[in-house]
Amino acid sequence: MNDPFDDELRRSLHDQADRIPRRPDFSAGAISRARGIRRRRQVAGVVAATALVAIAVPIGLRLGDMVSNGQDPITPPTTGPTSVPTETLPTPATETVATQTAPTDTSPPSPSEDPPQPSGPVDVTLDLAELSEGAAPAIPYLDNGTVVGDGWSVDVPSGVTAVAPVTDGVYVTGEWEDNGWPLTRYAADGGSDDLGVVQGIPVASADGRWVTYVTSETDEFGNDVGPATLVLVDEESGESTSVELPGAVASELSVHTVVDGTVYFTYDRRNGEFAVLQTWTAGDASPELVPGSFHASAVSADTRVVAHITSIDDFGASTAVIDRVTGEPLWETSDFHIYGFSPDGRYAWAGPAYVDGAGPLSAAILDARDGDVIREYTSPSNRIFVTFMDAVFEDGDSVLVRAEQDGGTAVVRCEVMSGECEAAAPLADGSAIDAGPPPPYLLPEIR
Amino acid sequence: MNPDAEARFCEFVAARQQALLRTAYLLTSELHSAEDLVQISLAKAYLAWDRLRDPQAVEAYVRKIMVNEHTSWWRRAWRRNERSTDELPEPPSVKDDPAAFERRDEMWELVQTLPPKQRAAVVLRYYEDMSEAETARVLGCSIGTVKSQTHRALGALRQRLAEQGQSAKGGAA
Repeated sequence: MNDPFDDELRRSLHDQADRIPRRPDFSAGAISRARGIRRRRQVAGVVAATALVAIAVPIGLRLGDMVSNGQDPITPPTTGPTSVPTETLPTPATETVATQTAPTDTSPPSPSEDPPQPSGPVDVTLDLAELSEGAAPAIPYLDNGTVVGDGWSVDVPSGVTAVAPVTDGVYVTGEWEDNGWPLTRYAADGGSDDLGVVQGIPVASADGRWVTYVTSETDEFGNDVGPATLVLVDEESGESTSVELPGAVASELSVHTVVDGTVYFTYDRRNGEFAVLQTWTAGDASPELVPGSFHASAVSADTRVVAHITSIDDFGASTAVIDRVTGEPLWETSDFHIYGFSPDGRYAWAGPAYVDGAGPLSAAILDARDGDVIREYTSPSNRIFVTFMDAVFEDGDSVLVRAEQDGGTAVVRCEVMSGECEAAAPLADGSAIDAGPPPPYLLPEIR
Repeated sequence: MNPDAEARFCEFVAARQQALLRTAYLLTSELHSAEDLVQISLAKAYLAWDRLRDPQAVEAYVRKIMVNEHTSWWRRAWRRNERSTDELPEPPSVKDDPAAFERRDEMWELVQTLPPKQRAAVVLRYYEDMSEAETARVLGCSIGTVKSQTHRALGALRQRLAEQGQSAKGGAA
């Protein structure tokens, strides 16, 4: 027998839906909009290829806030592409964080050095079923219920949602329970610690020393009611410190990088505002605003390069890549969304600026200095579709990509310099897009 | 897109537009926003049309785009501040049983306060009558997440309705 409450809810929704009058056919309008997007992409491509126009300062940037610490600026080899934002982002609110007075970055300006030139074709088509098999990933990853590290492996329960490897173990979250993801730390030599439930997945630093995650108070229905708390664990000392982020939606906090005990992050607030790029260092009483009010989608591990979203509309977004130390915009794109950078900040991993409901059908490696496309990966034909789910740099020259095709998933290793790709984990049944089993692999949450 | 494929796209829109618009309205609460959501989702489906080989999957695909789009809209403050001034006709059932309708109207008011992902789960499960597995596919999450989102949404609706009932009683006393 149906629950009367459920029936009433159904009738309530049908009452409202039945009020919708018939409208004129949407076909022509939809096709027109689709052609507009296509035209815009083509125009953007032409502009990117030919324009030699200085880049305007992205709206929302306050370059006066930028303080150089004596580092050399990143010098693009050529003037990069430009584009016109269609809709600017609202000014971010920053009232709850203190302003940082000067960047403390002391890392070498590696992106300004002239790297060796990549060889091979820019356009690379991938058929996951045809890839040659290469070595397994050199960084820990999930393979069918086992987290495989360098010389160690630990079995974990099914339903893993995130894997964050640290020096001698791994933090793993399971499927969402009533009020969050259960977090467990597994030691590489056996044993595990149940760390309770978290509302933001764990992210580890590239050196494996630090791991951060987010917790929050929840009500009896499991709704996040705050305040959100950002937790940072020093794996070397075993110490854990935390800071409250009033107004933050715990599940919408993005950690962009964790380096030397400092977390770079952005988040959504409960009132819908976006909190711009901030840092918090273990032991500090509060986070600090990174000068420049960055609407960040990615920050390089050396913290030197920031991908800053300058505008967003229904069909994509424009991004400026900024030298954080000088505040100079290096280049801007409306063709790509920047997901991450190589550890030295030299290369960017990017997908198309517009992504449909299933996932990106192409991906690219860009030169972080000028936005030049070094590699662009696509499906081999209009009958075989490869969807690029996520990626992480394995080292300075290779990126691991989790990609799906025909209900299967593979981990692909793509070399930046040579342009060659191979299967680091072969195509196996299970995907996020199609019905059937879940993906067999997960890449680690390393920033 | 070749003419045959375009014709199939137009056939799909003609057949399913109204159903999509109804779902979009339940997600957005505003007719203009719902129309915009459907049009944008159809435009994106048009661009991906060649990849949608399984006709059965097309509608689920468009619904997936709609839900994702709406979630991203919700996160943009200016979208949420848009308010349509369109007057919609009264639902037919209001004439049948005004008291029952009033209670369902209260429920609809509360549905509109749910966070977007919980609201989408409720609309897909209780309006579209999708299974938990189908809902999980559209929302791009696990069945466990659908269960928990729906559980939380229904719990909140029950509690708030009960609170409203009590305050109405208190007001009448």
